[in-house]
Amino acid sequence: MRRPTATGIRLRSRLPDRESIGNAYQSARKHAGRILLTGAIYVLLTEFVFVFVFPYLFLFINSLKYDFDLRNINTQWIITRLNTFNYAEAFARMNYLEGLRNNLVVALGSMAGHVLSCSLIAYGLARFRFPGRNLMFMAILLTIIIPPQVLLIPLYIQYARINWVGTFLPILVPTFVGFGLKGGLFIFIFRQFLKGLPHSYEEAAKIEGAGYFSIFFRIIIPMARTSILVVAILSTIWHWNDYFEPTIFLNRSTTLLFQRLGTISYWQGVMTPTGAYINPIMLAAIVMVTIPLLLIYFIFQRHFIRGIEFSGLAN
Amino acid sequence: MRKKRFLTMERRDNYKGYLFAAPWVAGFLLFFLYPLSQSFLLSFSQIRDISIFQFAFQGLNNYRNAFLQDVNFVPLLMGSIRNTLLNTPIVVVFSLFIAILLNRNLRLKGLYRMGFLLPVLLGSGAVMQNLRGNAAVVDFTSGMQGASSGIESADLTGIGLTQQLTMMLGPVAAGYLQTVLNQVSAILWMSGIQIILFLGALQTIPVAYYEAALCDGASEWEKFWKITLPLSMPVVLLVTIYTIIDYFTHMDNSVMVYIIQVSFADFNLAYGSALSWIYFLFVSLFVAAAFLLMRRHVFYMGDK
Repeated sequence: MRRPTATGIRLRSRLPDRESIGNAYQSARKHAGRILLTGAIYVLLTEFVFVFVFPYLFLFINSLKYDFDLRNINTQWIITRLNTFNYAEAFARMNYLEGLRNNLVVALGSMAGHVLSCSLIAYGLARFRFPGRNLMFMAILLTIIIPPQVLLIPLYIQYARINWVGTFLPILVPTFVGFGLKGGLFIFIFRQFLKGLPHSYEEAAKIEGAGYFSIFFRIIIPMARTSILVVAILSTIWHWNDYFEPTIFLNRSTTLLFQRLGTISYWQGVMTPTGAYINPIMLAAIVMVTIPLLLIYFIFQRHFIRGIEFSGLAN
Repeated sequence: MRKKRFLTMERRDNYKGYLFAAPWVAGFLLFFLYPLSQSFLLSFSQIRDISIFQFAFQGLNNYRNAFLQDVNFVPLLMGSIRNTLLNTPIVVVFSLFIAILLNRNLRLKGLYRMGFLLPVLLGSGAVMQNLRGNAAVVDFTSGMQGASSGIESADLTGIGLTQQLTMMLGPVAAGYLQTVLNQVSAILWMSGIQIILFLGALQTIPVAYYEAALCDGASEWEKFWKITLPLSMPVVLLVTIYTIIDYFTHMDNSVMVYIIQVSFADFNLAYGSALSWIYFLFVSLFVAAAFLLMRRHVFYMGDK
């Protein structure tokens, strides 16, 4: 049995508590309690996770079914014959590779822009008490509050004038100055995390004569690793799934995967015994749209877990 | 704490903050202030010719209509405010709770984290709508783009999760589960981002503090109130503000749906932008209130 190790507890089990020294009964009871607690946590988490996973599982299973399985009233989760044709069909109809390339350019490019620009801006906000900084912070909150839909038409006219419509530029360029999809929120995130970092390292560097940009890149960035990961994950996810700005600003060969779902018609679906229309090709397409994102997330999140050990060193 | 009036070294250094703020100001002028002012002007006018975007100034008429003539707007606004006030604390507490659980060294930690993120990964918009059997949100995009490109609303009418549930559990249990699920799953599904933010916050808390608490014999409960919570307060503030804004400006929000319908389906852009200005004024008030209320309790380690 592995001990539940929120890092503190691991230590405690090595150091015997004051009251339980020499008291075998009590320590056994504590041990049992801990097992129960861990068990309860697993049950609880599994239960919650089920609510989250259920729709996706449903989607995935049905995307692999043939018509006769979909129509079968007796089976919900069982596939009698695996249907991979759905995936091939969705792949071809969406022109998947082109869409995937577009998605990667938009999501990863904007992610890079957001991480770089928002961290710099937030560093300025969190560490320098310049006049007007509160005003600026309020304006940043305002940019979060007002959704892109409100600014859409003037922006569209602005971009159309400089021939940016149909290219990735309307989505990529604003991210490099702290705007774009939820840019203000990322500045806010960085600000909250950066304000929590202790000053001592910077002051030491300042005394050594380091400039502000080298302080930023050598000291702040490594210490702010967790927040960088959070922003990178969120920015990538949101850009991957955004359909509002891309539908407006991108067209033809630059459209993203999400927009390409539109090429798969709903009405070729099958009427299930429960009265729902299911188009397995559509479901397969949705799975294919989300799979690369899951992979990207897995890569990010491995570092996310490692963050724990790091934060111990930073202080 | 003002000690000297003239430029001390620290104060002079503070002006270097402008260097970091400069790109944002440029972006603000280009990508925000200009389009925003256009929308603001639009709210005071009336459409004369939509094809060439010609508008006539109309004074406060649109604003007056919103409160005095429009029977839909005010009730929707009130409902939206009530829902936000109810749901925000639940989401914040729930996501902090889940984040603390996920921050333990569980087996399959990665998979659990992935599970909680799935709704976010799956798409905050289109796919979710598809699953929940609600196509209202995407109607206007397809309306704007025509049938040739973009998302066709017909593609996104649901695959009938509700029917599936009824099938599996029988009508009574399903009906009950449905009402619970509508609330719970809405809350759960909206807390993926919050969970990530809290996880990030929990991981930046120095382990040394917990070790010190351990030596002093603190219990889990005490550690939470004395270490975990105070040190994650900056992120609690962040999450609260984010949740409020997310609830208000989510595309599912009834006021947002209404505004979008007015501006794009009925194509009354001027009235739509007046509505959104009123709405965002309210949202800003709530954000400001949350900020002021929580400010006293937020402590930053980096503050001098």
